[in-house]
Amino acid sequence: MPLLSVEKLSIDFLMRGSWLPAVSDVSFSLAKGEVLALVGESGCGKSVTCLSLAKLLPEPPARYASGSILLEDKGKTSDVLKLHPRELRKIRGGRIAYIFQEPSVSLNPVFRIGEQIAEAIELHRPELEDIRGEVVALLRQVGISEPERRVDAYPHEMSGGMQQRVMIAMALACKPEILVADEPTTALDVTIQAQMIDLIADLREKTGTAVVLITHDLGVVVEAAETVAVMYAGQIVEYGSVSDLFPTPLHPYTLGLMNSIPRMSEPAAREGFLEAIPGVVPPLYHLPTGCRFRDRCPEAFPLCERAPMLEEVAPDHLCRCWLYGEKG
Amino acid sequence: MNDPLLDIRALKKHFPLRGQFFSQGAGVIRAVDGVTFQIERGETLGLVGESGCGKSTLARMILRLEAPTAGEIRFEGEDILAWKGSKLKAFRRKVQMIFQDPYSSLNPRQTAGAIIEEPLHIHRPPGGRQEIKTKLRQLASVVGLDEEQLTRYPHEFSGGQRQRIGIARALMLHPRLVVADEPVSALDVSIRAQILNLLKRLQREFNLTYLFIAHDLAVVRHMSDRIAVMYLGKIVEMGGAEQVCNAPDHPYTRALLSAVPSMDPQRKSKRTVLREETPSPARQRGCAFQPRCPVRIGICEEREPLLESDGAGHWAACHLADKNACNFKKSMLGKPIRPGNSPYRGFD
Repeated sequence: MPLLSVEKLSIDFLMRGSWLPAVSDVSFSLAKGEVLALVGESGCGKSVTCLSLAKLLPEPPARYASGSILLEDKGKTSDVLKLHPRELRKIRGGRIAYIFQEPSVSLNPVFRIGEQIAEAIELHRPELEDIRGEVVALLRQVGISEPERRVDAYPHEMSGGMQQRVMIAMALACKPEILVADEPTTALDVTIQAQMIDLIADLREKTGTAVVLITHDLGVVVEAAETVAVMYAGQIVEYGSVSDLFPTPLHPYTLGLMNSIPRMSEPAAREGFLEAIPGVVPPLYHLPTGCRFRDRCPEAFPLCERAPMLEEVAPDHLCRCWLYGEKG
Repeated sequence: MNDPLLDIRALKKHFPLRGQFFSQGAGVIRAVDGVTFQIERGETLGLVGESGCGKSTLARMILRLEAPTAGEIRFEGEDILAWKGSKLKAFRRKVQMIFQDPYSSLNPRQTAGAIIEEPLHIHRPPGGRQEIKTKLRQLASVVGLDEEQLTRYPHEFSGGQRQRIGIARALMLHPRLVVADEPVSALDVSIRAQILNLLKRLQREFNLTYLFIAHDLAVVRHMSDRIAVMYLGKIVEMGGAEQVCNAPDHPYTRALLSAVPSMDPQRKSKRTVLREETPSPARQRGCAFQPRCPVRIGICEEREPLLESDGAGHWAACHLADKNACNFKKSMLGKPIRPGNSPYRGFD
């Protein structure tokens, strides 16, 4: 049984007086220790999906329109969306922990980092006595040198990479089963990005935490994830293992994304142009009927006016496109 | 080759570091510390480096938005640092900038059309109002904006469309040199490719010369003829795009390259993991990269390596760079070897 399974989740947002579908019919599952990447461009619903895993979206403007988020605990499953607020508080930070994109914004500038990490421990592990010792151990675990001294530092005294390590330490403080990392490397420099990817991979190996990694960077997906879900305009358009999906992407959007990135491994064509996807991501209040990608799709044909379903087109490889399936 | 469009020599910008109360001269930040390079007409020089390496300060100095502490900037053979008044104004026509963030670099109260034509109101062309409107329409269609969109305000556009407005504004005066400071890093992946293609097409159409600044090596390699790698205010490696990417001589370049995630799941990259993070540009002794360098040796702490050429246009500032193997002993003896065509000739 998977640790987490999201089933047919739809989330709407109240905008301009009407409910707009930010996330439509999203399903995926996460096993213990698995790393799942959600890839997509801004506005595709990947962050909204992730915030919903611990029911963190403010209602309104958000509305969980349908679907369920099933979290397994000692053989029993419970739907996160139906839990009592008291139960939710135990899950948030305890079983599902978050790392956000911008560490300098997520950390409180007026508290020492040690206090901020300790706060989570005090809430979720009240039985622990030597909290400071635990904080120091956590900082050491995420690769911060001289943790005994750094524990008393303020966020502004640290670089972006160090701050992100603190965020990771804070997320790990309660030994969560699921770590949700929302663009954890985007705000960081290239060499620090590489360090973070390695750190997350390393921690997963040691602690067995499952990771949901949100990113727009396909390179990061290959480096860090096992399974990948490509999202477009609120839907998963392709879903499969990284080793399967990257060599043979099926959905025209996935293919377009891959072609629009210059690659180091290919000889650079100085005269060459990239194969860009034409147009822009449609706004939620202006989604095309039928397949949401059809306006930009080079393969579009009349059938695309009907909405395709996400279906299995090869073993463990799902795609939402009329080119491959019968239902789409 | 002997008449570069832009010729920068030993350019420095030091910012004074503010000390405690009442104490003075707490030191300086060497944001740009002795940078020398040339850009030929029609070429693209890619400038790569991490945040804080001084690449934006360098760009600002080239545009004369920042006064250098020392060094020389020559544009079309003339020393631009001496210019002021109408000469400086004329220079500003020839060098334009494309900014990173299309959200903050456009005035929210001006329409797209007004933003694009504003440079022409400052540098009045012969022909007047009618001429301006014609040019505006021409350029808008070249960068892919509809005429109807010119009456809209920036918030009505997506990031990619805004960047098109910024590009049109930069091209309005037919500049010779365009400095593009991270022009695509704020954009979505699918839009990035559109803008990169646009920049390439415009370069051909208007015979532009680019200084293309970015932190993404794959993007820089795609766009550039030559690449310069900056680290803490200095150029540590410079050469043809393929030379630098396929046969890097500096350990920092190698680390940058290995940090670029591979898109092929079969070939996950083996990374050179750098020990520490970028130290502050305030400290100076030996090689600036030495504290993070995976292959440092004794001399790296003692002596700063000079940017030296292999004679074929590939420069590196490292004691261990292959081509320096024979020079290595001599430079330990205190006599740095400089090739005849050193850009440093006569400057230090």
